[in-house]
Amino acid sequence: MIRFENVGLRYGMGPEVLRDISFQIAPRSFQFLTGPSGAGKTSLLRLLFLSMRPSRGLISIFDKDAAKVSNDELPEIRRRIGIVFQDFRLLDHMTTYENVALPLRVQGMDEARYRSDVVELLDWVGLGERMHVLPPVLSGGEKQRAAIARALISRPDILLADEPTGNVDPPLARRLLRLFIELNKLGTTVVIATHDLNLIDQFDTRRFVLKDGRLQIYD
Amino acid sequence: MTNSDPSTDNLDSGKPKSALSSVVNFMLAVVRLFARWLGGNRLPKSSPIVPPQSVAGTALMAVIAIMSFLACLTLAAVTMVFEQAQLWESDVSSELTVQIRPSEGVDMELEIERAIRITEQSPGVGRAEAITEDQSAELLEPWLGAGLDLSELPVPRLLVVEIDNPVVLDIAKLRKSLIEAVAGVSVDDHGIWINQLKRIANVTIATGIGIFLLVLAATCLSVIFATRGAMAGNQVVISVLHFVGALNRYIAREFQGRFLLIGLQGGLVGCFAATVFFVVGGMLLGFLEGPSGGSPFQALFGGFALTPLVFAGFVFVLILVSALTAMTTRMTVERYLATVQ
Repeated sequence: MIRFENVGLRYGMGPEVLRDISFQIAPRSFQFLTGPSGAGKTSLLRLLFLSMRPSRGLISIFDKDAAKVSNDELPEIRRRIGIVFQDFRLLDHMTTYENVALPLRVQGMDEARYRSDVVELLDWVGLGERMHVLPPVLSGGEKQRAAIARALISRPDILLADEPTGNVDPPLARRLLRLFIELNKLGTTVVIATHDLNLIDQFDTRRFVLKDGRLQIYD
Repeated sequence: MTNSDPSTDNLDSGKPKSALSSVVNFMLAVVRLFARWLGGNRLPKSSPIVPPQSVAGTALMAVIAIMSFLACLTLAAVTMVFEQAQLWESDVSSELTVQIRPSEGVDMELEIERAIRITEQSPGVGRAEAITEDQSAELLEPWLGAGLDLSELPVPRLLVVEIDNPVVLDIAKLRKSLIEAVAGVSVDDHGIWINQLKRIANVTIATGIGIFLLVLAATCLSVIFATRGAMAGNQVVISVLHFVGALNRYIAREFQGRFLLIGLQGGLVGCFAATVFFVVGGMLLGFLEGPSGGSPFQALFGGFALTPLVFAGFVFVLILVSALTAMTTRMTVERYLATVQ
């Protein structure tokens, strides 16, 4: 599904923040991406999401060479990837419902076709009662769940989550992780970037560990 | 004793809440129920993708309104000059003057009769009429004084020729026929005047169109600056739209829709102001002219009236300004998005 070969990344003329990164992500797999703060987790996620181009190496996503993907092809690929940002990136002028429905709205779908799906998903993540509320009114955990719901609404092939438990208390963090595991069981490939080793230790699954720009994989 | 104090209830439930928050929650619940009853449990209308407050809408609308107003005035002035130039030309070209200079041993009356006969036989000529000696004396009175005997002076006689059909009339042929048959004759078809009027009118119209285009260019530049400002203020919205898979043309359409609305509103205000200006201006001019009428402005421009052609011009300006606003926004957004991943 996703293949990195000797990928390197540098910002401008600075040193390489990612060095010789090589890995493969299989369909329906589940993996954690971890490492200390500033190790390059977010940069790696941005490469996975094609919002950055590598300085060197090969990235292949859905059997397409990322270097050859044009700006016109990007939206089609991004619709197959759900992403949850550390800072949520919810649009403050839209309600929770509208934020979650946004991926379907931009695809030009009629609201009548997706309304029940959005409401059902909001109920599933526990935001059924908060669907007409604007994000500034939501708590950190609620924003996190709204961001996750937005990433999932278009049923992506792969879910990328950047520190999805960073703003929530441990019980909610465990609940969210269970949510990701359920999604994975339903067929979604999941990559979760986190530096919370205690949380990772509770789940026996594949780990990508970034340190000093290099990647080690523990299957 | 039954305790109905909400604060006590809150303590009982173990969740400390103020009485005020309970009241607010109760009111919110009532409002929600009322909204549900009104809306039949439907979801509210979708919010716009581009937040309205993120676009400097009021300022841009004011600029577009002013530009539309100026564009309307320019277009109206051009239209008025064009219409009046057509009127001058048709007035002047509907007549020509035949002049017969007195010569020794020539009977002027016979020459005049011959000239009238030849002229009236020419195709396209309606009527030819000689100005009598009395009428000539009356015309010359301001310069030569009253009680003048023209028979003692070598004053030329004039024929006023009314043209029925200027297309059919061959002035060169008429001139040649008259020169061959009538002594001391010359034909003035007012060509010099017509050409000068045409030149003045064309220069005025060209200047007006130039100003009109400059006003439109200034409008486009204002829209470009406003769009760039809106793009800068909506970078988060744009990045979110990108990562949820929005196409660039979808994003451009959203911005275009917002700016089209602003352009329409500004254009409407400007065109309405121009309409009011013309109606009130026309009334004021009519009032100042008094019952005798005939102000220099009216003589030059044929009145300050909101004719159907001028009004059609205003509608044209409204459509043009709105369309330009939308197109300029779309192009600016698409150009910006092409540089963003």
